[in-house]
Amino acid sequence: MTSVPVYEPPPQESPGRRLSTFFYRHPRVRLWTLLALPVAWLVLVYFGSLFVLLLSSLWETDPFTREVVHTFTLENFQRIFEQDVYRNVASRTVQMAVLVTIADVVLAFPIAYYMARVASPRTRDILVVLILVPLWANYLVKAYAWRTILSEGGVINWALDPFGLHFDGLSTVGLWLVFTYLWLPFMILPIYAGLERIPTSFLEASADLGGRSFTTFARVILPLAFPAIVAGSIFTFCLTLGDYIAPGLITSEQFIGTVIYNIRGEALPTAAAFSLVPIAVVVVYLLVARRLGAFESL
Amino acid sequence: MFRNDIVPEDTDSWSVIWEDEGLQEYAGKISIYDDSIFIADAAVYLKATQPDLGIESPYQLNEEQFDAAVALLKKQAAAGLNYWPGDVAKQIAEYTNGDSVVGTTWPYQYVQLTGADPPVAVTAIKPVEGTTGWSDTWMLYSKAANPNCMYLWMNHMISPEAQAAVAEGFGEAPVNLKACELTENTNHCDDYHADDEAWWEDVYYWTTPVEDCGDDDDSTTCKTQEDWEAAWTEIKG
Repeated sequence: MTSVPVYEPPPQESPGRRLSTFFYRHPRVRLWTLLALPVAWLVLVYFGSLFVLLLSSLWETDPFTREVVHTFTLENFQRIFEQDVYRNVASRTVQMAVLVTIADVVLAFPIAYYMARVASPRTRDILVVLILVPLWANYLVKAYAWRTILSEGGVINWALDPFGLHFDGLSTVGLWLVFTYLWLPFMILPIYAGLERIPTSFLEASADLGGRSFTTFARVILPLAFPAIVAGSIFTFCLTLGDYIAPGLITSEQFIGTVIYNIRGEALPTAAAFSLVPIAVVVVYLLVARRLGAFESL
Repeated sequence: MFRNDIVPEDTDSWSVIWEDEGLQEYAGKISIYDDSIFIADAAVYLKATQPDLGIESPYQLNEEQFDAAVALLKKQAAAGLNYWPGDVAKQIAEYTNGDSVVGTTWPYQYVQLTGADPPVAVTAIKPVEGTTGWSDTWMLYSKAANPNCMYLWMNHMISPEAQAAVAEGFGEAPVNLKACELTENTNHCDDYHADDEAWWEDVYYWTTPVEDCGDDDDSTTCKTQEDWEAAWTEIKG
């Protein structure tokens, strides 16, 4: 007699194992289960709120109670495009964002270069910490501190006073200084990372081929670091474009953020319509940045 | 309100923040409440100085009156202002540092500045043209679950003790005159003209601008709250 193989039932499967088998057999379900939460967040909360914003820009308000009335109108967009003040505020804000970005590049590049190429590992670590520490300090504290520095009895005017000079710190120029300070770490870190990625052999090759230091800088380092600079500029540009606290604290000039903040309570639809301006500017900026390769440097 | 060391002590007119002389002298150091309701302050000044505009209530302005007020405000804004958006701490800091020396204020900031250590020498006046003002009120939600609690609270708030505390804390005249005997500063009620009805005649209380001017005359139309807000954004530029 030949022995008959006896089928032994597998041991009782635990619910966890069964679940894992189920997911193994249904890769699509597995994928969507994993993604459900983040996708729901992105679609419902993130895009949902943007959609509500867009939608509320199409409503009217009651002229007396200022409550939002759900009647379709394009008046809010008309107001934003026709009244000079909105155009002036938008262009002032974009100019500020550009000037802050330029100032930050000029300040950040030498620091990042020193950190990536010159400093000893110990000095570099200290510098990274020094650059990161202000980022952990509360934004409001820093903005208020700058108010104190720039104001009439502040340290700048105290230092200028003996020379008979005076600096009107609570002004657009003062705000430019504050923004440049606030966002500087966001520019230093991407440039530092970008410069560190450039292989030393490239610089040696440039030198071997007769490139002097300036040529090497202009034709090797700068082009390779450029995407990193653009990556940093995304932060400095976008953060300046949307900020409403620092402008309100430092100047009386209106910026996109302060206008939206000031009118949001009573003229919510107009505020919503105006908020689409910085969104459009940022989308264009990001598209250009992507073309310049900034996203690979982040 | 103005800083005593910078603005002449006998200043008694709003002209210091509306006319060229004052605007040039204190450019960049004029402290203005950041809200469309401030258009009414321009209207108060115009009511006194340009009677031919025929302004009655500074809150109900027809097109001509409104345009005159906006023009005045734009001239003022061009001189350089510090806005305080209901943020009293900002205005208090500005007067302390000397970043602001003259402008509109609430009694609260005056109390804080003069009570600071060291005190900031400021004077608060009701200028000859009159002023805008408001009275603090409590409201009861029509669908409140426990309205009696609110009535008890209101009873408490109009008691002489609570009135005295609020009046001195914020710097305002109590409605319940029995509070006058309980204030720490025995002169508080006199200082704030609590019992002097004539003094309040040219104080124009905050109210909402409406299209029908809030009167019975059908032929008149006025600028609405919406118009005021749109104009305010434009005035600030």
